[in-house]
Amino acid sequence: MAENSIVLKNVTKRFGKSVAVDHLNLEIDANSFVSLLGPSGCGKTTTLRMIAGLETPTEGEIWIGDRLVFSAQKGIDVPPNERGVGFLFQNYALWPHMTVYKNIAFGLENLKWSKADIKKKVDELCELLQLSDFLNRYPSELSGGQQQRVAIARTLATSPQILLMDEPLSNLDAKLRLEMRTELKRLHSTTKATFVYVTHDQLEAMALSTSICLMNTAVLQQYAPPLKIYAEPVNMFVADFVGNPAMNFVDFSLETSGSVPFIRREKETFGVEALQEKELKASGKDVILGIRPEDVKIGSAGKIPGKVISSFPYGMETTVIVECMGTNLRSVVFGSINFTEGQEIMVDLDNRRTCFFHKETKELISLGKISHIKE
Amino acid sequence: MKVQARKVGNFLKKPHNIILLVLLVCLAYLVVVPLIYILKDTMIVHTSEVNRVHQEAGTLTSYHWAKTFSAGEVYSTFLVPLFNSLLCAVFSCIIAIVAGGLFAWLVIRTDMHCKKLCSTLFMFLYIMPGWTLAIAWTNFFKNSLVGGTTGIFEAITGISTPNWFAYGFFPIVLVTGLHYAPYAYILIGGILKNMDSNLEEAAQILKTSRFRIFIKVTLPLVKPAVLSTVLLVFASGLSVFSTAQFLGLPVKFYTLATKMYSYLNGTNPGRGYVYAVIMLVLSFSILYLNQRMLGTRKSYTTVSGKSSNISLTKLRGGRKIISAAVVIFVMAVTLLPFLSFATESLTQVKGDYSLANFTLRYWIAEDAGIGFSGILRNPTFWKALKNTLLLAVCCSVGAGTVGCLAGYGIARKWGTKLASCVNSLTFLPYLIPSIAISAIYLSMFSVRHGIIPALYGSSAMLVLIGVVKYLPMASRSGLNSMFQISATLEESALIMGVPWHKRMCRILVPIQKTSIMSGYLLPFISCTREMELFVLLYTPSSVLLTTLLFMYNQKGYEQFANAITLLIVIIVISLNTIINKLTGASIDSGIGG
Repeated sequence: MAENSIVLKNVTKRFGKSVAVDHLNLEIDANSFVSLLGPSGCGKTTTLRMIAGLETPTEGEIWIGDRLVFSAQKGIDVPPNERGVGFLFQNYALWPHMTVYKNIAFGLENLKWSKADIKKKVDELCELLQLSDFLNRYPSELSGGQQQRVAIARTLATSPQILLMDEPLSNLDAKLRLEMRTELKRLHSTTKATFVYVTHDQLEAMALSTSICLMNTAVLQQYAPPLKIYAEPVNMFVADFVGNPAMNFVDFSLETSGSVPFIRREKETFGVEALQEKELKASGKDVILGIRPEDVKIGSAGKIPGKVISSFPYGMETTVIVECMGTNLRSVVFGSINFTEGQEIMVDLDNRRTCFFHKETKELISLGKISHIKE
Repeated sequence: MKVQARKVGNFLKKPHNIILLVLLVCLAYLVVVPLIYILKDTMIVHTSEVNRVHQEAGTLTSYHWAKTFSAGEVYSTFLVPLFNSLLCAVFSCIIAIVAGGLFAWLVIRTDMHCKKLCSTLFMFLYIMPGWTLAIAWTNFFKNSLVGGTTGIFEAITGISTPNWFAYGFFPIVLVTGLHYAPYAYILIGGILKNMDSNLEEAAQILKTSRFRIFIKVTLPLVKPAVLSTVLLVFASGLSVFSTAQFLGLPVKFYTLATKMYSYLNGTNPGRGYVYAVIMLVLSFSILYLNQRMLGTRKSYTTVSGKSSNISLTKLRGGRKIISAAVVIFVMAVTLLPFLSFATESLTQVKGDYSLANFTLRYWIAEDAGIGFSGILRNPTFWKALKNTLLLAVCCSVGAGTVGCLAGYGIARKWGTKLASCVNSLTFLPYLIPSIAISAIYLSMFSVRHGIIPALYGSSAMLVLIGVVKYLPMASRSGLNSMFQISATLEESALIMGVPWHKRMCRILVPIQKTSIMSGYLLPFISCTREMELFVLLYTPSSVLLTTLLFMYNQKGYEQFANAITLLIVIIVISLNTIINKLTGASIDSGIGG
């Protein structure tokens, strides 16, 4: 196994009675960029801190490469400094009484590097992260983005093969965040390190990662590449959490008596072409249809009547809320189009990617398509 | 087995765990064991009691408890002192809260003149040892009751002060209340200053009258601060010793503390320990009450750290008069005592304040008449000064270091049983009245215990008790300073493999040097002015400024006593000022009593 892969086996962390992480199993490949994604309090930061050794799991095992670094059963707990990881903190954790140079050099001094080597390394890092002009400044004299880059340089100084990052961009403004995303992607390809990245921002996770580990209330929901998570969410929580504006969920009644299943709502009936038809047929009388806003087409060509409730033109695209089949659907249309409130409109859902969720369990039953049937 | 051993190893690999464990063991020995000892001491016959109890020394006896609560004595020797203590506590509290709260409101919420001057002088009351005010009071108002001379007041006006005014209950509560008024001022003032004035403005916009706003908004918001001041002053008032000793003794006004002292220092120490146990129970109940009442809402979250604009109340026509009254008041209670110490130390014949009677002989004469040379030439005085400063340095180094480490350990393991246990243990000495704690140590360390030699009469004993007594102060400030630093600052160094001592010395301590400094300096200053803690323990070889003063005062060498008081006050105030200028730390920022 490569040195910088990470494996978590049945890891559980309890704080008193509350469970922060519940039997988490996770395999992080070497050189990958994995995001731990989820709403606040879902256990993602705790997971990251357990990998680093800053938090002690209650149960389970953690492997880094071939090395067992934590095992509750065997009583093994390798200290953080021997795990070969770097950690980037949300608040940067720069030492306020040290200059930028000192902050970056401190870890190296500690490894007993020669002065010349330290200087060379710091200069090299500052070049990479465009910090050369600020070497003698103190953290309080830097902007947020600069502080962030110092923190990254400090973490990279010891060339860790695993880089753990705890919401490193959450304190930056929107524009800077975009720049730093590019920077992180570049660092990932130049350092060849394994990146584990905690975020609550699903867009960030989508844009950066090779895989997303989506968690909710201490439990792993889905672990898959971003686009797979987007297209094939395993349950309604995942479907709802990923994507902005969020996926539309509409209750339908399901009829499976004929050769082809049908779904009905109000006056409308659709034929279903399901990938897992058997499962769908076995699921009962009700089903929840999930459809992404970009798959809700509106205009004059559709077959289902609707009415515009409100519209949000963002420039590049426009989000429109449409009342249709007695519910509100979100639709995203490319370009700036002026819709007026109350405007009559036709909606088209045919032959688009849709998900079918179980009404009670909220789990995904099948992926598929629907087509409108005229009665 | 092997897994267990590894787990213990992992636990001990973390320095904060080791610190907490070591502290747990040490504090259990230095704080919990004494409590058990004192209980035991209430139930055995002491050497000096053999003739009284008619049993061999060391045997178990119910004599002390039975005697305390016997029908013949319970009223005069127990209930009256208890009632006196409670009464002192209640009225000191009222005076402290009213004076401190009113002063806080005037300084922070009105357009009064001379705020800076008043605030600085007012703090003197707290910085000066509580008993100095008691001495000043006697200087001014003593009457012919105790024999000998009368005070400055009678000398000037010719009016003889009544007993109730000169001694006993009235001056004790006044002096104690005034001493703690600055504490109320700090706590209530802090809230008034940081309270988001939007909260009051919101009520104002809803057309609420100013009075209603005060009653319905301001008062409930400062309630937690007022409550904790009440409990602190109440606890201190209950166990106040030196003030009660100086002002109460002439009229035989006893409180629990002075009664305990007289028993401990007399021939029936067992009974003194009974009083100590009772005082402890009272202290603990007050802490319990404090926890219950504040409990879940220690402070309101509406009190944010950032100060917002405060709209000052206009005093209008009364502005000049009120300002003048406040200035005169603070001047009177702070500068007049100084003046009285100086005057008393300069009078040749006590009670005669004519210019011809003034002399410097008690300061500088070769022979001041009573077999002593003047204070500044007196070797005992210089020895006491040296001892005091040395002891203060030792206590502050001890308490400061232990407090800082305790703060670190507790902050890192916050929320665990071990941390909260150590946290309570470091706070426990605060609740034990000084006199009681020294009585316990006296009994505990007077004989050899295993590897610990008999410490009675040694300076080691004074240092030990000082460290334990000031630990609450030092550990509070250590804990605060460690809580202010995000744990990530240390963790980022930990991940890089920076060893613990380097993380402390290069990262945590440099970042928080001011507040860690105050963890050292508060014990230093408090130790310089400490009397009650050492009054039972000193011996001629370990004489201190305060105990020397106590001795002179008891023997009636008032010129000497006043000279030393003046010097102590000057030393304490200048130390506090220098330290405050240098580091920003000040005694009034701690919880010190």
